[in-house]
Amino acid sequence: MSAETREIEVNVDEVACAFGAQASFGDVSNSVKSQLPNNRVVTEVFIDNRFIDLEEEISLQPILMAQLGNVAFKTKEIGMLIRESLEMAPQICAALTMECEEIRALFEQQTFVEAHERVGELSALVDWLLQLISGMQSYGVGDFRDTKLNSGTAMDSVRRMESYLSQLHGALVAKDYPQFTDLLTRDFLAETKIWEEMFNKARVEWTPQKTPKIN
Amino acid sequence: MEEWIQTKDRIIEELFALTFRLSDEVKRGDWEAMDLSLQERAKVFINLIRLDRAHAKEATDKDVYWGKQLEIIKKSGDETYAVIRQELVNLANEFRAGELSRKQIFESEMISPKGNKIEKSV
Repeated sequence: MSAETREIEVNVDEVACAFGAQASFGDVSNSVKSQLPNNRVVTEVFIDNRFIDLEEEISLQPILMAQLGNVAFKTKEIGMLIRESLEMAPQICAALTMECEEIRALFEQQTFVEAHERVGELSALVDWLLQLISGMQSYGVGDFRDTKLNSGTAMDSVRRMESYLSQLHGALVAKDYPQFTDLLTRDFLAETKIWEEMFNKARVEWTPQKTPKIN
Repeated sequence: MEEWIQTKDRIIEELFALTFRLSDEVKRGDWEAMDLSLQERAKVFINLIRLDRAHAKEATDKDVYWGKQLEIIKKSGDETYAVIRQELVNLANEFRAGELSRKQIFESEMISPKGNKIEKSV
């Protein structure tokens, strides 16, 4: 068989799929993604059993499959992905609680560079939780925002969090660090504890829909 | 204060503003706007990677962390993923061509002082 007609096997969730050896990694990757059902996403890519991070994945786009080793894609059903994330979410909330105190200490010690980096990390964690809430809302049975908590509904909590984040942002931009850390370790931290309760509840009660809602 | 630290502070402020905006979008159930915010957020993470690498002149633990945040965002949707991919291609090209300089970073339009895009939505 000539190099032009030779086929290369790619594993998608342990199922072998054939592609032309002259196809690029990008062609194959796009083809795999486009053929997945709507409720599945590619979560990991491996070459010779080695995990490929996003940057490497991008750099491999033009490379021909014939030049690569064994390529494998792992996909996940979104409901399952959300369930896994829900296992981690209460731990993230607990980590945020500790993060608040540590950030305050860093600002008090005037180690501003590290303090800002930690604020960025905190922001990324809150973001992850917000993405999870929207995922639960989009892919869950019923309206997650109506979930009852000890202090109102999940929606009430999201509203309060939005207000605290807005105030925190204002204090950060104004470089009013005493105000920022005060808000962080009082209101934001208290709400984070409510989110911990919310995600613990969701971990048990959240049920995925068979097909995602269309908003 | 060193220029790169000031720039980093501005990017972190922008990141925080996007988190605030995201919480507002979740509250309103506006998933379309949320997707756009995540795309913007991806660009901010790329800016952080860019800045950390330019300062350290190599990949750092910190920019690996921002890279992981991109991995999380990429699971959000095809359009968001396409934005991340394009940004990473741009980043790789800049490094390859040796065009990346601190000056370019500081003059980058994407690093908007105090997140002017955000202020409009508040």
